[in-house]
Amino acid sequence: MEVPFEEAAHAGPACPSGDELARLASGMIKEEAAGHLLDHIIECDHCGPLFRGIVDAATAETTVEEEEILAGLPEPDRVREDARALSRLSRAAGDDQAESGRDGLDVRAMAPIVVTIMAVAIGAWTVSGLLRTPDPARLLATSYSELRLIEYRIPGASYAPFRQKRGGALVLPRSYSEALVAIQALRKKNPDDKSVPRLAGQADLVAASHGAAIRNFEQALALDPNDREALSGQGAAVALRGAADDRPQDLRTARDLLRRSIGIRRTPDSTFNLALVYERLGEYQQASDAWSEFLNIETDPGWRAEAQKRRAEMENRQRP
Amino acid sequence: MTGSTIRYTGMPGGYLANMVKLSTKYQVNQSLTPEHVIQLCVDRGTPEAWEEFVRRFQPVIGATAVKTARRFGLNCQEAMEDIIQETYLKITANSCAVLRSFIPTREDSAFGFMKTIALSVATDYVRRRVAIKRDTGKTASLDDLSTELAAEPGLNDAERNVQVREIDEKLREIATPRDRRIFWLYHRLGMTAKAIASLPGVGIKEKGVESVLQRILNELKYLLAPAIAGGRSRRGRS
Repeated sequence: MEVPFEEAAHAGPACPSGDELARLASGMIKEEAAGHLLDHIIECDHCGPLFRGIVDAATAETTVEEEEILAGLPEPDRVREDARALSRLSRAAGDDQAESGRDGLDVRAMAPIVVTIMAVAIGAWTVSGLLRTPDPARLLATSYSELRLIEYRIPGASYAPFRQKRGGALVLPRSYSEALVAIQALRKKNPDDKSVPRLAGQADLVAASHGAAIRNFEQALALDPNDREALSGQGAAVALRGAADDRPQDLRTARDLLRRSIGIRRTPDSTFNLALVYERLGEYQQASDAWSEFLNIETDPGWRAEAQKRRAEMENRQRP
Repeated sequence: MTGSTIRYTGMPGGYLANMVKLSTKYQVNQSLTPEHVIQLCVDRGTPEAWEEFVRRFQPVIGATAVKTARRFGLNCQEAMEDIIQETYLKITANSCAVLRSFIPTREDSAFGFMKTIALSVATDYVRRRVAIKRDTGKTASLDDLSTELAAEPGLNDAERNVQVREIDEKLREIATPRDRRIFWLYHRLGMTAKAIASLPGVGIKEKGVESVLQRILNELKYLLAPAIAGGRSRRGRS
């Protein structure tokens, strides 16, 4: 049963937390506290329908359709890989503590973390466990180049050939896990740091998780609509969604986002991404022009070679 | 999915039991209780302990995630994956502080505990992604209430708000706080008597809830009849 809705009602400062509502719906709360919460819920246009929905979710039988979705959960041989990731996370030190061989865990010798589709939806955080907090942007650029799962670029990444993600476990390099830890450290240091959602979105792009990337870039742009890197990243993420879900409108939106980014400042990564989007839209002349503009500002031989190849292909397509 | 079933009991407060089918692909180490598995993860945190943890609790976490996603119109696969991952991160945060707070109260309470954690994560997830809107179910419930009270259904928002206020004023006079909550959970939120009975602080069974509702309705009909008749007269309706 889907909870039907009409006009929007937003949460207010008096609204209980998700944890309180969940504990109430699950019966894991003291009676006195339950009474106060219920008094709020019956009068609140936000909490009322929300609570009804989660009570229903908590009590209803799993339907056949839901069972089919659940059947997509990781196979047992991937469970071991998930377990390694969880073991790592559970042993990470909290706050500013350093993780330095406690309980026999040698950070320096730690193998790359193996994650499955469950953990590929990045939009989440790990707890800082390193002795220092290196630059997350640099770490992300490194991991991008080690993986290059997407054709679109992120700032600062060295050239690497594109490797399409296949089924099976995704092996994320150590630089990636260190980037996540560094992002978390930034967030803990300053919860209002505007760079955090942008960096999180870029981390999602590196792992080819466009859904989570879009959500994070949306947050970044809500904080700063003129964040050039967030505009460029959002353009790439939306373009990926457009290709994955066959949504031409997404490609047009991506084009506009990238143009806005370039309007603020033209960079190699945003120009590269715009050229790709023009290709996907079938706007071959514009793509060819964008590749030319890119070649005017990019010095890396690897990226230049790819751009030259693509520009030549665009010119071929325009020939009668 | 077929295979062995693990039945987990409800939480304190009369929570309804639910069945979670554990796929045969998740073969568990039967010598360990769920509570032991949690303790192993907290104390040792080895990959083997977590492997057992995922096998045990993934189904209940996943089921909570997908059921919540469906009820709020989210993309089930994507939301399920996100909620599962965020649940595991909540569990492992701060050296598994959440797991350390777990106190077994009855057999299989571990599953209820995990379900509550997943539900908490899912609730926050929904709040971030869905504009929680006024509930047409609520409107329909209030229309039913108007019919029951021989008042007019199909009122506009302003008229309905006045009616609700009048009813609530009377409720505060004639009903205990608990009964008032029962009344509005039923008529405003559209919850069933069965679901209401399962909530903490209610303390009565489904039949008891139905009795409360009928009793209050009867009293309200008597108390509000003059006001309702006056309202009809002002609107020129018989």
